[in-house]
Amino acid sequence: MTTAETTHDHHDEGSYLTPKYGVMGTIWDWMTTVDHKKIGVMYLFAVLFMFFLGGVAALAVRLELLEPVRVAADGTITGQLFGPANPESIATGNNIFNRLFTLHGAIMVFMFIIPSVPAALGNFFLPLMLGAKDVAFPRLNLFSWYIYVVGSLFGVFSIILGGVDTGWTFYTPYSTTTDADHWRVLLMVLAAFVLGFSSILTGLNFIVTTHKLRAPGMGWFDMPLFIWAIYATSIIQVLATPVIGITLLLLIFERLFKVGIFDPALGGDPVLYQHFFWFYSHPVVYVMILPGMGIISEILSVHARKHIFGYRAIAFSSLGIAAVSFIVWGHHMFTAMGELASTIFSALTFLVAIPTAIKMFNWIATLYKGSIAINTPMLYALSFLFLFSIGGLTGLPLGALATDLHLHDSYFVVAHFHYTMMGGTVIAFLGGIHHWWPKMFGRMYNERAGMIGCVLVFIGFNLTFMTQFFLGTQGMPRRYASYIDEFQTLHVLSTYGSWILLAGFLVHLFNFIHSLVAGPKAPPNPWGGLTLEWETESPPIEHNFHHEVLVQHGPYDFDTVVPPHCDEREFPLPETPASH
Amino acid sequence: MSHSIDDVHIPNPDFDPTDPHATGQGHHGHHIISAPTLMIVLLLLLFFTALTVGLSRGEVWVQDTFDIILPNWLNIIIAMSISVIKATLVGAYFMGLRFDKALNSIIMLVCLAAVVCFLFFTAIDLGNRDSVSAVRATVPTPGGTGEGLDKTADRFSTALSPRISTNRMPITEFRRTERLNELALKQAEDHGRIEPNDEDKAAGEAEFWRIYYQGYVDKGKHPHRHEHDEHNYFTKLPDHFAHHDDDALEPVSRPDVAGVADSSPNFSFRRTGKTPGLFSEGSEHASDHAAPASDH
Amino acid sequence: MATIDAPNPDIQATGAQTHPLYWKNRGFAHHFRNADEQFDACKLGMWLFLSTEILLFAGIFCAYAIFRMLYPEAWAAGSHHLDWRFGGLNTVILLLSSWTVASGVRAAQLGNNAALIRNLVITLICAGLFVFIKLYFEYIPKLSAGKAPGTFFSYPYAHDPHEPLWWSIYYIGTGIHALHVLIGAGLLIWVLVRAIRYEAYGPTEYTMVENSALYWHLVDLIWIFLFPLLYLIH
Repeated sequence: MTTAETTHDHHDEGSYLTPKYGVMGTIWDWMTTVDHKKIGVMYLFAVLFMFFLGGVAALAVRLELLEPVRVAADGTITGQLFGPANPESIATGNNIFNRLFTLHGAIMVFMFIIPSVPAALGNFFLPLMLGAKDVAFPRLNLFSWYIYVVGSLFGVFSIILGGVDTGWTFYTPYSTTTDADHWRVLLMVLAAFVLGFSSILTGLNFIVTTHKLRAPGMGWFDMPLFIWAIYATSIIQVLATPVIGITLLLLIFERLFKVGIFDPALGGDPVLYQHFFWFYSHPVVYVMILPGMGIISEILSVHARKHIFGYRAIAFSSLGIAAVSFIVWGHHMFTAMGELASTIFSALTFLVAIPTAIKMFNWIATLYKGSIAINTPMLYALSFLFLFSIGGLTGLPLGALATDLHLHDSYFVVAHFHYTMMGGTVIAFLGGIHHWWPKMFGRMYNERAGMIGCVLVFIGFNLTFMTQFFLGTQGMPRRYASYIDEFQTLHVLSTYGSWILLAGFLVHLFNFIHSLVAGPKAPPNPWGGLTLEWETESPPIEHNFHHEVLVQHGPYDFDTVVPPHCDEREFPLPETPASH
Repeated sequence: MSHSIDDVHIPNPDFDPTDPHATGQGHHGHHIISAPTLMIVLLLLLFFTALTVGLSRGEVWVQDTFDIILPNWLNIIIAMSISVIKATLVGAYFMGLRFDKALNSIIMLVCLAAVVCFLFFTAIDLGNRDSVSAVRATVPTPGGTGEGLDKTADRFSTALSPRISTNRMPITEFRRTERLNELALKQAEDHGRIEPNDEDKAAGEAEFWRIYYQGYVDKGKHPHRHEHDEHNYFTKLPDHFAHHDDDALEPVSRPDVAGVADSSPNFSFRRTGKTPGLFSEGSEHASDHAAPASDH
Repeated sequence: MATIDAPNPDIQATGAQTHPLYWKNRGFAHHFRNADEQFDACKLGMWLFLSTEILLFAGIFCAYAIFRMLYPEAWAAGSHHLDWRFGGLNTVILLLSSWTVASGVRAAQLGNNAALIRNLVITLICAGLFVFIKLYFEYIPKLSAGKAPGTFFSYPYAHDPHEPLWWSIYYIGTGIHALHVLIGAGLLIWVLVRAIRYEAYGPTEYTMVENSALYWHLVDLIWIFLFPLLYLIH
């Protein structure tokens, strides 16, 4: 990679993190910034705060499930966590439980996992990896952050007012009839509606940036795979999110005015709502997972010092997943639809397995004969391969019509989507944060603490959710505050697992705080990466690069290129170029 | 130096029509669509608008004059084909897609493909609930069960909709009943009575049907294109209102629903395609009287 | 830094306008390589935004199609309450406004500010007329007759039990469309004000005109489909 002298030199610039105007001035500077890096960091802190809120709700749900709720012969109640211990309180306790799992789902889906990787890491690294100075529409970018904050405030406000018990999917008639004396369901629906706009604007910005602002010399197939993943994600965000907009708008009309579109009392059809909802929400599960897959492609090739295997296959499979995502939504509604539609959707659902498996095999082939560094990002990437495989394979019985009718709405489903969403996206997100932490904040973290945290998260996660597969096949339905005594052992194990998970996250949290306060200064390219973000300083300067970049090698040419800012002794080239 | 997107670079302002942005390299020039082209496109659009309206009026004329009822799908296909032509004209010329980068057209096509998927698969489900297994075939209550509306009366305090209790009737039937009662009361008042008797009720009902058909009498055409025996209102009317189809004048048996004997149109031919289970309760009049589907 | 520090000396020398919004004074943002790239990026962004708008309306069209499939009589009966002459008039008005706004873009491309202003004013008059007809001749008489959506329905002479559902779709579809007419008119007013006050648009700087016009054409496109679907069915 060489740099070309142009008129736009930025030699004497400091890091984007350097405060310039005193305390209030700096706050104002961040609040009005159009710098994609600052917006990315603001998104990162916002989504991590939401992750904390959703996580607290999840822990509370698991705590309630530690014991089944029982009324003994003498009237004493056991296992009731919420509400006073008298027989009348069971309904109250169940009501609180319903609100907690709705809160957990709504926050984790709309406010954490959808914006997590694209809006936080994507905002920070997409322009850097493309060699651009910023995203195409920087003001729109800031605007989308504010929309996100306003939407999240609506959601939090709705929780403060007492929360909603509709489930995160807002199915009618729950969402049109429950809590009829209050505005909070509307507030929560409005929150999801507003957050959708934030998602649309981010996706739109990324598509235009990818098309128009690639550095000179960077063709479509010279882009890092993270960009391909974000690009496919953005397509889904732009095409699917407007439909949730109109759906939630209709839901708001339905609740406020009773217009009857989803109401059988007026001739409407509640299952139509499910179609509308899943036309958005199924593609959106790929909004959640695709960026994670992009991160894994980056981490595996950099930390195994190996050219990614099957670059084009991985790139096209991202687009393939995006395309297929629009024709499989019905598998969420097998028990609600007629047989014809169910059969068609079931058959189409298996198409998703093809591009996903292509990615999985390519990642494993990338590791073959690589020089694998065992560090936190790599451990997370390996965890991803393991956990996401389980998540993906357990999707097959759920996509098959016959088995789904039995597993529908059971803990098997809960375990399946936690293995894909948490074992996939959250694990990849954590891996990505560790991978890019030195670049984002200019400090190294403690590798040993990071690896301990990763192992704890891995063990805790599997203990929490592996047990739920067994619970599900035995017949434990989701969204219940109580259960038969025979399930208790597995539920207890699952709850213990959630505590180990918490311990893992706390280790990471303290590691990050320690790194920010006292971590050693990070070199520009600690891992020997070849993508463009490693060309610049750590943390990057205000305008990203000192010179306009000119791309002269691929993002994964570890066989032939000495990484920028790196010593050849540290990252030696192979003796003879590997034959492909 | 602050990170500001307003650090602008000013191009050379000397205007050169072949290079309007004065950027030198890699410039392709923006297409300026000529005024006659725009005018021709406008005239074509107006022509197609007139055509689609004309065909629709023609359909009514054919129906009224020759009593030929064209199938429903013909209307949709013709109207939508003309709309697609108009939309293509607007997109290609007014919006400039024809002269623009291909990428913008591709975006539109991908977007339309998503729309097609959305419509197609949703329609597959809602149009074929009973097509595989008869178990799923249900007889819904036309007009809705009305049950949820009863709940609104006491439950919703934040909803802006009127809090009505329809007594488990569909809302159209409820409003009709309301009006009939109102007219009966009016008749009673006119005769100095407080409670309407049978005579008042009959007079109120006659007044109701007079208003009901007034619009159609004025326009001199029939009220329904899709006429079905089981809700034929013409049995109510004097001869000169009668439908051409004399067979339909046979009085059909009517349900006695909520005290509005003989005046409930709220049952229709049997329909499928609704959520199973949701329509089974409270649909006694529907299941009693729903005749099998019999178009024309 | 909201404006450019110093006007281009060439412009001062020729005595042209010095306001930073005057079209010859406009540059491009620092992260683009040239003005053309910025123009293309803005237009690409606009097309992506238009595709989101189409998908938003797709929800309404889908609900329309499903219920028309399930309840064809209700749709025919409901449509008979609409007067095709008002719908047709509004169609003609929107088509005319689309033509004037396209002519406005052409005027901006040719640097004819007076023609741009003229065309925008006619477009805005059309927008006003459209909304007026919609409200005064359609919404208000129908609502006062009780032909209202859902539980608001109080018209006693319904032909078909599913007519309230038809009115729900009618008001939501045309209402959201009318909202888009107002938003589009707002954009065009913004463009008009800048054209009058600063002569802000010319051959090298008409992104805003072009994108507002695209939005306006989209409003027209949606109506091209709504009109026959609502007014011309039997």
